[in-house]
Amino acid sequence: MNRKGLRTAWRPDWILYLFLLPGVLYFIVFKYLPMYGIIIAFQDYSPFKGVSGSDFVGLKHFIRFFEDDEFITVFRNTLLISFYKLAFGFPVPILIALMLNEVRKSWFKRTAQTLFYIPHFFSWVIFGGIVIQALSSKGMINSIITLFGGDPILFMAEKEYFRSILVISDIIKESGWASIIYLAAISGVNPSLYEAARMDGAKKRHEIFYITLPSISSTIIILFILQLGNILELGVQQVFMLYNPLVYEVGDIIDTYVYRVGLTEQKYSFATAVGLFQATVGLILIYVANGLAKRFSGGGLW
Amino acid sequence: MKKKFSILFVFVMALTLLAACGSNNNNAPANEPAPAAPNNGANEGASGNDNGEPAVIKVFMSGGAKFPDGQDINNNPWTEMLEEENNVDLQIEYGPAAPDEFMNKLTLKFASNDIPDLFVIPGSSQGWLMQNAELGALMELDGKVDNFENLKNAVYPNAWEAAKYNGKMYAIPVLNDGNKGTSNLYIRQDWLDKLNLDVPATLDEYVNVAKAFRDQDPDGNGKNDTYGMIAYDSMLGWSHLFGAFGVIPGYWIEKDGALVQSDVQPEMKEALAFISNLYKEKLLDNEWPITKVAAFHEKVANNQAGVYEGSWAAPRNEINTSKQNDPNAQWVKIAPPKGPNGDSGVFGGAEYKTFAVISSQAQNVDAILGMLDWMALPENIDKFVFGFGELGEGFMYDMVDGKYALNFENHNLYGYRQQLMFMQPKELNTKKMESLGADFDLVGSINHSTEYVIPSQYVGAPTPAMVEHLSTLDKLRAETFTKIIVGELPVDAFDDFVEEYNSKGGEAIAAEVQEWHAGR
Repeated sequence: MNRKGLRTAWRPDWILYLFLLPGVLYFIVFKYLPMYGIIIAFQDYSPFKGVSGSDFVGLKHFIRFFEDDEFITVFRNTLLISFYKLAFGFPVPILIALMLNEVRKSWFKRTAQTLFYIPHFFSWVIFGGIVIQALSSKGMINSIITLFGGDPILFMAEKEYFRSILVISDIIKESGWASIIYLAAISGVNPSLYEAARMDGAKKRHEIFYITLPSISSTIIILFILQLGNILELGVQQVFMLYNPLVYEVGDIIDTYVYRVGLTEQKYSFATAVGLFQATVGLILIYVANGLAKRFSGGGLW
Repeated sequence: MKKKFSILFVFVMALTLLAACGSNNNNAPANEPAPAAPNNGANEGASGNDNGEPAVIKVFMSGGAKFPDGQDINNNPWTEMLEEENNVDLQIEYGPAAPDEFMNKLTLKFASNDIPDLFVIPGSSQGWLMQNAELGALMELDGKVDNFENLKNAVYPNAWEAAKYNGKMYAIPVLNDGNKGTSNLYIRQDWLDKLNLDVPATLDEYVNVAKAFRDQDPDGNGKNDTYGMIAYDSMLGWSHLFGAFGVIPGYWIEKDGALVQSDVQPEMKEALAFISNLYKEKLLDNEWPITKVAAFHEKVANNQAGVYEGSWAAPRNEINTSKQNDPNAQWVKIAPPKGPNGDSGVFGGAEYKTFAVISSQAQNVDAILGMLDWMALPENIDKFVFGFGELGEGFMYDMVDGKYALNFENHNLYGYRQQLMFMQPKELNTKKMESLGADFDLVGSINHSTEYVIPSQYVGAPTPAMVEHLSTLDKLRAETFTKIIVGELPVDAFDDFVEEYNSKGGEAIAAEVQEWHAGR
């Protein structure tokens, strides 16, 4: 469309374009205007002096973060845990969706779905408590171990287990909920494709691999790209609930570090600087992943 | 390429909220204005005083309490009583209940120039206090408080230090309910008797008792299910083991006239070596680093532990549950065991829970201080705890065998009234403690704890180096001490820790603390 066309094209449908307005306003007011606050990452911000009154200090907070002894540890932990969550956690909702889709008894399907969704609605405070309880020396897992003659293992206190516990508990808690979006995508697949396949003698597994999966592949790619954008932002809750001094060196992540150093001591500027760093890395990753997706599968986010 | 995406989310959420706080008896007297004030002024607020109009005071306080029908924070018998007694007109804004949110809202109010005259902030908000004092947003109180004897008396001299910026007072510290009391070491007398043991006085005896409690089946159920010593993830929660060596993690102690950090003293190394040995012999619950305080209390309530350190309020909580679960359970509080050098004690708490702060723009400073002064007298504060006039005896409390006993239904229904206590007298409110349940002997519990506390000798506001380094140092301590105790690091790793601690800001902090100490 040339420039002239763009200038006049909206006129006949201006009422329809009016519907866009609330959405655009929402993004301007709640997403773009607050970005002005990023300034405080480059200031020694004090709430009393305000954004305009605080002293400008350039990259001081970024340098402090990168030079901190803990930076290497928290950065490595964050990347590793994120990578494990992506590698092991990402496929699970797809599997759940595929399996639920093949269930024919609707009462079973509904019950299973509900059971899968429930953990999502618990906060990490509660779910973390359940995890700690289940893994304690007299908990469920250790009861099974001792039943078979083993010695109880203090899972939560062992460095080797901590990241696995994070990844597995996250999968248990969130996979069911994440499968909703895939189920929705699957339900959008044209049934005539399946009929045609069956006429050609396709088995169930053929249907899954040659119809269902290719049909939802664009959804999978988009969600994968979006997840990559959050790779440095694991959220403070889960780790904060589960970790203890014995596993600090494998469990301390950027978010818990910021919580400890930034917020409890009211270092708003420092916390903002680290947040900006996380978001920047996320943005770069989204761009790279999107470019790769477009090159190799012909579809991406934009 | 085009993609068609239609995702439909349907949520049917049925939330049923059961409000189960209907009261079945009528509380009519509470809804009428209280006729308690000596001057029976008919008009609310404008009493018959000669001083003229009541002074307007804008108050911002943390909220969260529920109100009976028809009442709110500005319109209830207690606020009205407070106004009449002090000839003030309180305009109270009831803020968020959570401390963080409250402080955010307060900061926001300052930023938008909607500044309250009087507000009460959590004791943990010292940093906020200092920043605002620096900016001149707070009323400097030096000299002003001197005219108010009761108020002056109601604060421990050390507590004033916490509210000082550049040597000037900017807030009034408000004491804790339990005053200086923190925790006690509690032991099962019936278990001691059963195993023919004496109350342990030294660490060695204490270790023997713990061994017996663990191995000799003190509850007589034939199962090996009792603990020696129990602990949880906060080291202050079992401070008596450190106190026996004269140190408390994170605390400043006096040594040869100087203030030093406990964490880096040779005594701390001894304490860690000792505790690490307890861990190795499995006398100390090996799951302590991953035990939360609730699970810790459960072991007491379920009668799996016979000795532990608990709050002064424990007789009303987990110990009470323990007695309900086992009628034979007989808990007594004992002196913390003495270590090799004769030291003993438990951690001491801060001598204040909140700060009452007056903004620098407040007009009626004397009226505010006068009101706080009035509240600093026990007989006045009792009007809040026990009610007054018709809301007093027979309503808020009854006399049982000559002792006060709260009517818990009304106590809870009118729980907001205690939030209006912006100040506390220094005297421990023994009547209040008694009224919570005479059998619990909370007064004895508080006094017992106070006798053995080891307070931190640094009572000033956080120094600049603390703000900069303390979170890193606290983490380093927690990590190193935990690892030494569970044997993941040898005890000698303590020496490296001291070096690292000092180089990562510990030395800078110590210099500032020394300066503060010299200036007192």
